Amino acid sequence: MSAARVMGALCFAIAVLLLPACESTPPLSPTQWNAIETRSVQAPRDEVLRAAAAVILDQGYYFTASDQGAGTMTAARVPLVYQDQYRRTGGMRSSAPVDTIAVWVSQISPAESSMRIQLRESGEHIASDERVSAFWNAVQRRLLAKSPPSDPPSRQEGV
Amino acid sequence: MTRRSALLHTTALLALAAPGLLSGCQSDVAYSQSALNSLQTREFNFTIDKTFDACVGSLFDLGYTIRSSDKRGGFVSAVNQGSMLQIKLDQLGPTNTAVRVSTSEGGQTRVDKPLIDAFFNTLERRLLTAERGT
Amino acid sequence: MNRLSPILISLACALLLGCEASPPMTQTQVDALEIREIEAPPDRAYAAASNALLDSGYQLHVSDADAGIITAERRVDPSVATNTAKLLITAILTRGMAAQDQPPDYFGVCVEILPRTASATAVRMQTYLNGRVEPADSPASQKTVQELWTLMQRQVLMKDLPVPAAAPAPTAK
Repeated sequence: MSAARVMGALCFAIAVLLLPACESTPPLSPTQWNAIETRSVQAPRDEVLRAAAAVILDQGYYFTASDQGAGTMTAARVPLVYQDQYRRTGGMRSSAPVDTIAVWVSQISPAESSMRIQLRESGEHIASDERVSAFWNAVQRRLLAKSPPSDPPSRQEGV
Repeated sequence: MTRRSALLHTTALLALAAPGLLSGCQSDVAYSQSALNSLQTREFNFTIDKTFDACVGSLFDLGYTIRSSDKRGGFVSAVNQGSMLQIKLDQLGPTNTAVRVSTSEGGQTRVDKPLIDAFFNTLERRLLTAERGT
Repeated sequence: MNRLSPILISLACALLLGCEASPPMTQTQVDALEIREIEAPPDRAYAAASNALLDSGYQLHVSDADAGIITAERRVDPSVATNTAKLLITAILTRGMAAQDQPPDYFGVCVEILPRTASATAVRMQTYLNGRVEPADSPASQKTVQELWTLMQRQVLMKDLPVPAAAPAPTAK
């Protein structure tokens, strides 16, 4: 066996071992995630929560967890590619990879709240300033529309 | 390539790959009940309300997604790609709260000391930041 | 093949022309279809909504009365005939290599209770099919919402009825 061949094999093996350690971007620190995902809203906590719940539904998500006391809501929607897996593994109880949004609203002052928006796509944590801002803008719009999430239609179904 | 050199070749590859493969096999450390308690539970000199909020914030910071939450009952659980954290808070006094963290992987309870430590460190930092802010 | 191409192209064009994409609804239009108002306080509306869902065979997955949020889902299995037909067709088409059965359908509903006044509550209902939202103007969605709405109203009416006087307790002889 030639020395060159042995060297080649060694280099290949080392490369294989080292490859998993190579990540294209370094993972974000908790502080960086906090900065990307947090926005301030000029409204009381409960109003922001209501507006956020409305936007979550507007964007086609369904709630998977909610705790008004804690100010948290988590919601999911199923990507088309995983719909079959979702159907075959128990629907909402299934472990199919889904897109999720988690929102945490906390009060800063009586008229100001902080809103944290965490996005996941097929289980993967997404760092997207743009999408967080888009959600935040939609919440602001809902808040601006006065009585959120929107005025009921003229149709009244009294009982 | 002769048979002998092929054997050498394979042995060299296996020898190199072994540490990498073995590092993936994480053997579970057996903890005594008291050791487990001291590892999983810590007390904080903050109200249960502030501690709960800081717990939620820490879960977000660590990239976990809230799966269920009950502030009134002092319980919150969160997941991150198969790994789950369950947190239980108990009010020991007006400004004294016990936080218990348990970890599981793929639905099975597995004590993950680095994760528990990382959670408590983040929680401590959050509580201290909140204190400075007030 | 050359002779077939123009036919295929014209067929595709004809099909494409048939697919007329309707413009997406505005949020106000969606709200108009999904939100209705009920003459009941929020807690009664919440109770009525969860009872209506249970009456319709839904399983509640999320229920947060303080936030006024409910998520529920109902599983509908395909008929034996549908399942057999799909198994046979896929078996024939794939020469027995990848025969597939028909998975169940999951019908989901999210309800949001929105307090208006002490005695009036707005209720928003959004429907889902297999984890994806259904358009508010789709017949299936409108049918589900209408059915749930009727059941909710019945629930509120039932609560309004006077409670019948309790039967006298049996006395020991």
